[in-house]
Amino acid sequence: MKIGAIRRTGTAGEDTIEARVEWEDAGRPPFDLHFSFLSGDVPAADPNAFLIAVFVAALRDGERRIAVEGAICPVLRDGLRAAAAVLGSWYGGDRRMPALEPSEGFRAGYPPAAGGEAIFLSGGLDSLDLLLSRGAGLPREHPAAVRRAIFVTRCGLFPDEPQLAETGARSERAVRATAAEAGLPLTVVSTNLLGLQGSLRSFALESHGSFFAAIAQLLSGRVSTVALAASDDVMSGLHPWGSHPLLDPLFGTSAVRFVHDGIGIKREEKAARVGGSEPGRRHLYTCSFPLPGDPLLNCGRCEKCLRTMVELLVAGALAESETFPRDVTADAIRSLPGVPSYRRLDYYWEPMASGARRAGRPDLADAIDERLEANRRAEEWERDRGWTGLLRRLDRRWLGGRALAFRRRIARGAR
Amino acid sequence: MRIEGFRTASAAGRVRTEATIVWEEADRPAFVVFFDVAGPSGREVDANAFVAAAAMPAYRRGERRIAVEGSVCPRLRDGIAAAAALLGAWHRHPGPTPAIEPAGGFVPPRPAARRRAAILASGGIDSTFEILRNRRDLPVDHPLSFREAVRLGDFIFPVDSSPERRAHVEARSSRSVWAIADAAGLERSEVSTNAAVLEPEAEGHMRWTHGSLLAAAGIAAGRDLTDVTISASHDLVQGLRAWGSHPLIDPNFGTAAVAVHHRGIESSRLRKTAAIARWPAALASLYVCGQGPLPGETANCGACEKCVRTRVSLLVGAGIEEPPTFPPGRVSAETIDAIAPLEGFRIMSYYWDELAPAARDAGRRDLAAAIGRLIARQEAHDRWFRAQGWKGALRRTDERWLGGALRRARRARRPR
Repeated sequence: MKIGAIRRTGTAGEDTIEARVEWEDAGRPPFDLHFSFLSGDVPAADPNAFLIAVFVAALRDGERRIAVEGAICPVLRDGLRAAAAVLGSWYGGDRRMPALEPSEGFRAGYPPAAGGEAIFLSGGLDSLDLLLSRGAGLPREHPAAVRRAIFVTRCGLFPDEPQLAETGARSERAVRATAAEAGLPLTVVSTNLLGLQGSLRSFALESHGSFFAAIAQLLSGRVSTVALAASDDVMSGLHPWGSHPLLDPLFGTSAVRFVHDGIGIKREEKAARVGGSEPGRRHLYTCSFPLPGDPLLNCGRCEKCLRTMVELLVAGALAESETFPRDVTADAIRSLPGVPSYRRLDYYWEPMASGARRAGRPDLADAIDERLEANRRAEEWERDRGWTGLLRRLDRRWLGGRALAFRRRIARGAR
Repeated sequence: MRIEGFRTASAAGRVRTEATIVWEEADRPAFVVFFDVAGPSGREVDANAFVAAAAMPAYRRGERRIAVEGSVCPRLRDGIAAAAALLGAWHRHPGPTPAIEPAGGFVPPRPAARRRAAILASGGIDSTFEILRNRRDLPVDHPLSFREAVRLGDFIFPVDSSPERRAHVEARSSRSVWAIADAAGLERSEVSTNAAVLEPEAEGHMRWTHGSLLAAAGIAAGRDLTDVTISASHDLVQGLRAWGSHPLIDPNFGTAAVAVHHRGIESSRLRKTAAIARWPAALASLYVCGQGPLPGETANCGACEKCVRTRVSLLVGAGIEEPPTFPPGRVSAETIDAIAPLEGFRIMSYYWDELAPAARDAGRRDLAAAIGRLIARQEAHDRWFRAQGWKGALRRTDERWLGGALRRARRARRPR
């Protein structure tokens, strides 16, 4: 892979950094990758950002080298080697660390003398909690205080879908209001990076930490640390995921440290803190399918909305919310739309059944149990799809699984 | 738990801060913990270092709170919650994290106006590699370029080692660390603490408190430090283990003034050793051995598992047959065959697996075969240790009801 022609373009109020990404081994067409700052500030023309942006895709698609125009941070070089090992241990496959070939060698960048932090805001529960915990933990005059928020408005997947445009507009509105009330300048970023990385599935499982880390690097020279909110927590269990406390910091450099924060906070704690806060009450936005013209920010019917509503309800905060319908029904949960298997419905919903019971809503708890059971059945069915699935089902039903056992014995013998 | 009665005294260029640890739930006697700091940034140690050192022992022993005189950083509070959750999940310890109750509230300490980085140095492979890499990769005026080597003094297991052993190990360790620090142009800084006694068994320390204790020493080392690096003892090549010092654990014990970094997981120990072998000053001071007292001036005994492993690594990774800080003589298959099995929590294959193919590649099939025998012997020992029968029952009874007192007594009878 080659990353070249790194250049600055743009118009008034929209500064863009672009680079041409050319594949050498994967047989994919060249890609003009861009990051645009829509908020008046200027992105750093930092080759490290482009390297971070393409790395996971290059690793997955078997590129043998990444030649970059400019100098690369040696801390990042070592971090990427570790990231390759982490992803390889999680997902296997032929992930070999590509050789890094920067035209100007390996050279460490400097953090700004007056450091300060930035955090990513999406409008959702995790990032709002990050604002309340990490952001409010230090007084504004503290050198390590959060001084800036970053919002990614477009990411390059399905760019013409009106649904996504509506989602983007609403989340931007929510984030702008949140940042303004917190007194944080907001950097608004648009990129086509997700178009390079591939599917939403690989984004979720492998690369979304690096996606945000690349954008963080564009703020080099202005902040020394950028924090991303953890989506998973230790108590519910950490598992391989594209943004992970082991993986994300590896995409930092000697100029910008990238921090994955919040793994020690349960979702129910986040819901209580966010739901009880002014920004949470007025601006919490989680919706995947907002309804145009709906005065409420969130539809209250999609999976993410319903999940957040139950969490707020358990925390005693749903009735005060200005962005969600103020109650949840068991029927809504029973008819919860399906989600792709990698999104792990049970991870988020299973702990909520007991919470709903504690909150005096056994009807919701029963509905959650029913919905999860239906989900488990659906996943089992999905795993058995196609002609191999048909054979497995026939084997189980008529031969008691003997064919599968025989095949395994043969395979063991061959090894 | 209460941490109270803070007091400070200075003498001979060292600043000692003490506090009394009072257990509220665990049936353990009150204990005075000290941090004794010498070096360019040495000042009175604040409550954060004490809380960082005591938090995991308190969590493990079922303390419901840590009430502390003074203020505590809110970032450290949140980090302790995350670290406890992780360690609890790894070691199946379901108890709640102790609530941190600082009398002075949660107040973030202010970092120094200029960033100043330090490394916790032991003279061993991992920290020496980090010093080498830091010097190689970062210009000396970079904020993350190490300025200080912080040596952790009195850091020895068993914690009740004889004064002779303690003095000998200290002397060898400090000689090595200061020589490497001088060669790298690092200022010397030393933190001595008895906080290891809070988790006195080596196994508990390695599994639970290794990282938090090192981070506490980093916080204690001085208010001028802003970045402290802990060197990874495990790596992604062999796989990370649920361990007290870990990339997911150590950074949690930083504060708003001092960031704690865990570095080196991408490089295997063999690779680190090979890199160090090309740095003559480090090779001339390398110190990996906790045995002692040793005869003469030698830094390493040359015969314990860690010494032999390092000698084999230097041989197959860098072609060094007689490394200078080990007793004269070449490592052989017989040297490997003489290694006694490791007991308890250490996994022989973890450390030796990568050396067998490297030995073969270096044309030393005899060593590769001996490594194979060593791993097989260890596995047989592990099976024996877990065994049924009266010996297994006795071992289990000893561990469960006597806290391993019989095992320790048996070990104490062995010559060191």
